[in-house]
Amino acid sequence: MSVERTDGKGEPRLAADSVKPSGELAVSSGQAASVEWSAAQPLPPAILRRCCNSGDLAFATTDELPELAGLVGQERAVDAIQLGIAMHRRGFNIFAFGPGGTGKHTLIQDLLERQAAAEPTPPDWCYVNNFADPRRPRCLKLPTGRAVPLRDAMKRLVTELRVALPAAFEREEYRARREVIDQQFKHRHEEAFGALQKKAEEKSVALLRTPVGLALAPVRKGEVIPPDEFNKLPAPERQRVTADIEALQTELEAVIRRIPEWEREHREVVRQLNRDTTAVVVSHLLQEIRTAFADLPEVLTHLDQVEHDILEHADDFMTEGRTEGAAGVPAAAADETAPFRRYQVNVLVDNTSCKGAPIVYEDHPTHQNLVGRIEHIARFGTLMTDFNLVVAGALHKANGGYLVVDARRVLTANFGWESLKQALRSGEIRTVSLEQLLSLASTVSLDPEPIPLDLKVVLVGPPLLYYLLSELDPDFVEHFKIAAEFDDRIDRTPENIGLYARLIASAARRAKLHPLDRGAVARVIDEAARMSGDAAKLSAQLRNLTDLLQEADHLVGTKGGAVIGTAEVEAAVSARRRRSDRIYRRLQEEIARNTLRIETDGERVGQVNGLSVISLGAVSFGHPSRITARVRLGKGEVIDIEREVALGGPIHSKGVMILAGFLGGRFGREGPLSLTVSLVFEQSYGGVEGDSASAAELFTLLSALSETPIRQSFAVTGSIDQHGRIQAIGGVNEKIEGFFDVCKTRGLTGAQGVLIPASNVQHLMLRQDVAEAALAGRFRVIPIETVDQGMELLTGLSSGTPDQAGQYPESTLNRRVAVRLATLARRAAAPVPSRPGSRRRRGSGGKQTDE
Amino acid sequence: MNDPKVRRIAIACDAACDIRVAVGEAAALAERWKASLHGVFFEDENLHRLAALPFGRQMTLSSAVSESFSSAELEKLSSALSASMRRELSEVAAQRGLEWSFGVVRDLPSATALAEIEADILVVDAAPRPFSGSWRPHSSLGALSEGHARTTLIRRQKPTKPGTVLILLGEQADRENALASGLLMAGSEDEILVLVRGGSPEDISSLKELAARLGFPGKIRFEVTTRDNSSLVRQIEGLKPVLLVLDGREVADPARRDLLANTQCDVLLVR
Repeated sequence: MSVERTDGKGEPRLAADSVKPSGELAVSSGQAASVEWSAAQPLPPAILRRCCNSGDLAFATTDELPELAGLVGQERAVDAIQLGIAMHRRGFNIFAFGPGGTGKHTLIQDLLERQAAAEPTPPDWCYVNNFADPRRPRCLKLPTGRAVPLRDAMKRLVTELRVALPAAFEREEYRARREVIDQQFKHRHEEAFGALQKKAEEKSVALLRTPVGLALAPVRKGEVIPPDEFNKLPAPERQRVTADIEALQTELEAVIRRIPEWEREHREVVRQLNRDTTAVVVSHLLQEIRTAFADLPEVLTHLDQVEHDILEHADDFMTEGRTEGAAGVPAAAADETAPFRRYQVNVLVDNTSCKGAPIVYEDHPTHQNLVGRIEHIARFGTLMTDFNLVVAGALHKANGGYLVVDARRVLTANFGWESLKQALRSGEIRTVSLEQLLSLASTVSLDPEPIPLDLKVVLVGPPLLYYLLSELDPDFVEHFKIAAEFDDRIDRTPENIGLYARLIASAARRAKLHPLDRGAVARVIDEAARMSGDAAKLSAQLRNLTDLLQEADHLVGTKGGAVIGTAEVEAAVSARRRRSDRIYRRLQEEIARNTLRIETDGERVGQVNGLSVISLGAVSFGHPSRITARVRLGKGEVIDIEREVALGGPIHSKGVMILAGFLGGRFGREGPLSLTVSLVFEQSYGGVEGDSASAAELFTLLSALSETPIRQSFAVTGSIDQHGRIQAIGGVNEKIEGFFDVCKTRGLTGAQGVLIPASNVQHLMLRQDVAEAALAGRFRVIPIETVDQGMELLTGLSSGTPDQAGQYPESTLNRRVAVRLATLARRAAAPVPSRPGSRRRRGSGGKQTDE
Repeated sequence: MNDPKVRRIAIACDAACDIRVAVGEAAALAERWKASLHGVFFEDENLHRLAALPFGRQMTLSSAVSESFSSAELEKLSSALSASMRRELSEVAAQRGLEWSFGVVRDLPSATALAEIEADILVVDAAPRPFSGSWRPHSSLGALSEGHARTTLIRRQKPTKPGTVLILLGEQADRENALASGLLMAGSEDEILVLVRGGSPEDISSLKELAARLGFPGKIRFEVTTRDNSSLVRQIEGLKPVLLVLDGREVADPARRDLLANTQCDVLLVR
């Protein structure tokens, strides 16, 4: 076994880059070396912390490194995203998922920007008035950059019409023509009534104005004949007058019946005059716009409709001033409600400044923010709307390009998910208010013409959401056929280390940080390995990496330095750890004060130091726990006290049950196990989950059974199977460090150490101080592969190998266990002596006394 | 109107008037001169006679069919209209802080019908509501007001913007009174033109002195004009005045009556 102890600079650092499954350690320092290790033997210190050899990094500072396009080790995700971008088919939208901080957004942004720059800029979109049905505004698709000129041209048109039309109607030519028409119709009335009046006068009848109409009356000397005088007239005379009046009434009726027709005719002639007058002005002003947009038939059609409408409603321009004045509203508000708003152009999407296809990030993907909204303005206490108040949503802005949305937000936003799916399903954007969508409002509102949708949606979210949506939402797989999965760690290969250094350089540049020297880069890579929880991997969580760089940069800035060095990175790592270790330190303190009882020397029967990991948010730390076992006569039960009081999780309970399986398999072949074992995590006040303490629980059980003391200078972690093999667990580094800190506080003796599963050796990336203590022979980390190896280390006794008859040799641990079990079995089988007056004990297991 | 001080204005309306407009205009004059306002609703006796005749019928524009026109119905309509005028008068007077009174006169439209009304100026609304389109039957009020003994303003058109106030002075006229009344009626933005029929340069000079004495601050033009009536009518039509001021005594002259019949503007008959 040899240990490589150089980092190329002669500094006392431990360097190693990979561990071979055979137990060989390969060091990439340029000096070929290998480290061997064996189970049940203390691990060589070089394996405990495999540092990146800064001598292997061929640069002085990161300024020398070229920019890294993309991420390291995310080829799977990159391929998926590129395929999704390239597939111009319906449903090939992308769901990018992976742990937070893995650079999903950065990578997606990079890939989309590269692709979008090479794509054509999509057209502009406008809404204009639908003159046939104002409730359904029409959409206009215009070549890029043409919407705003059209809007401005229409605005100018209205402005000019507001001046030019009143001027045209004030002109003497118009007034004269209007006067002629008015006089012509006035004369028609006067002629008709005048002729009737004359005829009446000839017959001594007057046409009188009553309060509500006209009447005919016989007159004499300008006065109506009084009734008594009329009655005195000779009968023939009365009859003549009556007949004359009746005849005149018939004529008057005929004249009056014609009046509505004359008035309608009058209005039509005046309207035609207004139309002719308006047409001259409008066609001249519109011609300029028609010429500018001659290549766009849809615009020309709209302009025709505008012209027709202006001709029909020229009076609006005449009465405009009066309307505003009478309304008494501020000018701006009046302008907003003016009748000529219907000639405006509502530019929904203006891509003038867009280079290539648009990429839109919608941070608040509610229904309205996606499909747009219809706004209202208050006018005299009433909410009014029109096509000018249709506002674009993210789908409009991203149309022809890419929309990036956070999956969690779109699922939790008001109807965001349903609206997004609806748009993708129908292939069009239909702007409808939430009230209308939910049928909560029955007021008249707008129903704008839907806009065809052609875009790529990229959802970004955690893996859980992807799996849940795939399982529970049948529409999801239909609309998001591309899954781009991001890994949270990458292989720690020499090639990837080089790329990782470039990644660090790029991250520093993007964040405008000081450059890092190669020692600092090596230290960051070490920390990346530590973050991944695996010495053979590097963390792909760029957010943590960038945060670390920024903190180190801050330290350089306070010192006035120019380059981030190893010291700054180390200080930043320590500071981060210190900021989040309040609870860890409190637990360590309580252990040091013996409030939490953990023994680190001496020997105890039925007691071992187990190790667990406590996770609080983003912080995880190891914590030693005293695990004890008591054995008594019973029915072969292993009682997990944690489970009995509902503090144990299912996996922990499973681990305990495996102990029973192991015991039965090894010692219960010939007869029943007549014992009851109770196991407990002492001073545990919360839940326990996981099976990483099952090995420790078995060790303490065997210790209790064999009445063999266990060395308390060891802590144990690992799970077991029913055959007694030790299996890998998680959080091995934190667990070792947790026990190391307890021992360090009490004083490292060299006898202290941790037994870990041999299969966890490859994950070791311990703190520098732990590795240094091991190097100094003051702390040990020992891998084990079997229960027997562990028990030998913990008790100093040989476990023993059974002979052909299955008997273990004398003075071996397993022999002690077998003998004890046989004794218990005999006692269980023996008849219970009866005592006069004594009461029968509960259960059939006989003696219940504690063994 | 020898005394230019106006203390009381009377407004007379009949069933054909646009009461709201007429009362509003009269109230504006009363407020301007700080005078009280007296309203008179004139019921034409001819209509009562017609309603009592066995064949009394009327025709409305809305139905175009002759309907019965009884005394009872006429009473109801007249009563409603007079009540409407009274209400309008009270509201306008309250708004403008005027003293007001109201009365109803039922008579034949003769020169003496309004003789009993005490007022410095009688305003007569002679612009009836249009019956159809722009056609209006003749107003009987306009005719009877010509015989009134006091200064009478005959409203014959809708209120218009400031314009020309034309004061026509004849050889027989009480020039000072007519000039003073015309100046009194003119608004500050009106332009005043004094036409002197058959006058001489000396007449013009003396009238200018008179105007200066009366202290009118605005612009006044003086012109000598023709004695020929038809030429004068054409001249007046061309000028399109907002108000024509005449000496009321000259209206007895058939030529002046012809002048009144052929012009469309408001007329102030000064007495």
